[in-house]
Amino acid sequence: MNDLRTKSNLDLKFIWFALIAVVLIVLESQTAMLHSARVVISIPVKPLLEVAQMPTHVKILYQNMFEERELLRDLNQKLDEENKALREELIDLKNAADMNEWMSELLLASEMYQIPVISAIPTAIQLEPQAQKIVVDRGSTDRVVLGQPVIDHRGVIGQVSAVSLNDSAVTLITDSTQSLSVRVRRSGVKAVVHGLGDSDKLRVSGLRSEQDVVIGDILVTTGFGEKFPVGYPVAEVISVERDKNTSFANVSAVPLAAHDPGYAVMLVWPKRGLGSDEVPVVTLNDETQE
Amino acid sequence: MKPKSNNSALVRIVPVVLSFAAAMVLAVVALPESISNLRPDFVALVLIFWCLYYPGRVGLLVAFTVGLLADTMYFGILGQHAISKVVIAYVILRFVSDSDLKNRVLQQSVIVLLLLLLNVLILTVISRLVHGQSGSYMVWLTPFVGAVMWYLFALIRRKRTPPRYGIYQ
Repeated sequence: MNDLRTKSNLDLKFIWFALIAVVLIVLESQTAMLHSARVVISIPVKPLLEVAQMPTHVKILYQNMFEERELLRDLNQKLDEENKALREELIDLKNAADMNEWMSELLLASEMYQIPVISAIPTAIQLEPQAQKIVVDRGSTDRVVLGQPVIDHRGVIGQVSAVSLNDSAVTLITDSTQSLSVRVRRSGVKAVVHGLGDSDKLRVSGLRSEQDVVIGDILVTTGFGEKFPVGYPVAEVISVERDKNTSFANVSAVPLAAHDPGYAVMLVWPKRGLGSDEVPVVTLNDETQE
Repeated sequence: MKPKSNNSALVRIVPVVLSFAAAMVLAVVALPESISNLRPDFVALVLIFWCLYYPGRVGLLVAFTVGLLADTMYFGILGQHAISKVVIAYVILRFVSDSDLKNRVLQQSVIVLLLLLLNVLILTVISRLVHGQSGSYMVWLTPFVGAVMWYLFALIRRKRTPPRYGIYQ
C-alpha cells in the first residue's frame, strides 16, 4: 500500500481530479456550458431528493390525520382568499403589462409584452446551511431556464439559480448575493434592494436623505437590466433613518413574498428578447406612473 | 486482495453506495432551523470513514463522483464539493491512512475536525470566488459538530469490535 509507486500514482490521480474540478468550477462560473451536464448528473440524484422529502410528507400526513377537517377548512379558506388576491394581482399585472406593451409599441415598436407563467410548488428540500434558496418542483423538462424570475401573488421571490431535470433551485432576493433595482411605488424614486442572508430583512441603498421615502412604502421592480415584470411588488419599507452626517438614508425593508412550503409560486417567462431593449421601457414606465 | 467473485464485490460496494446516499439525504432533509444550520457535511464524514477504515474500497474517483453528485443535489456550483472531497480523500489516503489510528478515538476525532475544517475552507473559498460572497460564519461550527459525532461513533465502534492485534499505547 505504501510503496513509492502507489503514492506517486495517487499524487498523479489527485492532480488530474483536482484539475478537472477546477475546470468545472471555472466553466460553471463563467459560461452556461454545464447546464445540460447538470441536468444529466441530476438524474441519479432525483430519487434521493424524493427520499429526503419523505419525513416532511409523513409529518404533514400525520398532522392531517388528527386535524384534517379543521386544517382543510382553514386551508380551503386561505387558498380561496389567496386565489382572489392572486386574480386581482394578475389583473393588475396584466393591465400594467398592457399599458407597457401599448407604450412601447407606440414608441419603439418593440415585441409583444407577454407574461407566460407556470406554477411550481416549493419542495421540502433544505439546501446548504444559511443559503437563502428554495427548491421548486419544475425543471428543464418544464423549460425552466437559468435566471428566470420567480414570484408569488404578493411579490418577487427570487430567480432560478440552478436547473436539474425535474427540479430547480431558486435563490431568494434575501440571499446575500442578490440585489435588485426597485422604485418606490408612491414617489417613483429609484433604489436598489440587497439581500442580507436574513429571510425577513433587506437593505435598501441608493436613496439620498432628501428623497421621498417613508415607512410603509412599497418597493416595486423597475425592470431595469432585470428579467422581472415591471412594477411588481418586492418589499415594504420598515425603517428609514436619516443621518445628518451622510447624504444617504439608511433604509430597510421586508420582502412581501412568503414562499411557504406547499403553496404554489410562479415561474415567469419574461418577454422575448430578454435583456435586449428593456431600458426604454423603464424610462417610459417611470414617466407614466407619475 | 481484489474480490474474485461477484458476490464479494457486491458486499463491498453496496454499503458504500448506501452510506453515501444516506449522507446526501441527511444533508438536505428539512430540519428545524436551529439544528439545520449546524449539521456537518455528512458526505465528508462518510468519505472519511471509508478512506480511514477501508482505504481499498474508495479512492479519488469515488470521492470525485460523490462530490459531483452532491453538487447537483445541493444545486450548488458544479465541482465545488467534487474538489473538496477529492482533497479530503487524497489527504487521508496519502498521509493519514494507517492502522495505527484505528483504535485511537480522540486522535481520530482531531483529524476528522481538521479535515472537516479544510472541507469548509475549500467550499467557502470557492463560493467567495464565484459569488463574490460566502455564507454566514455558522458553517465554521459544523466541523466541530461533525468531530463530536465522529467521537461518539468511534467510541461505539471500538466497543463493538475490540482490537484484535495488540494494544497501542
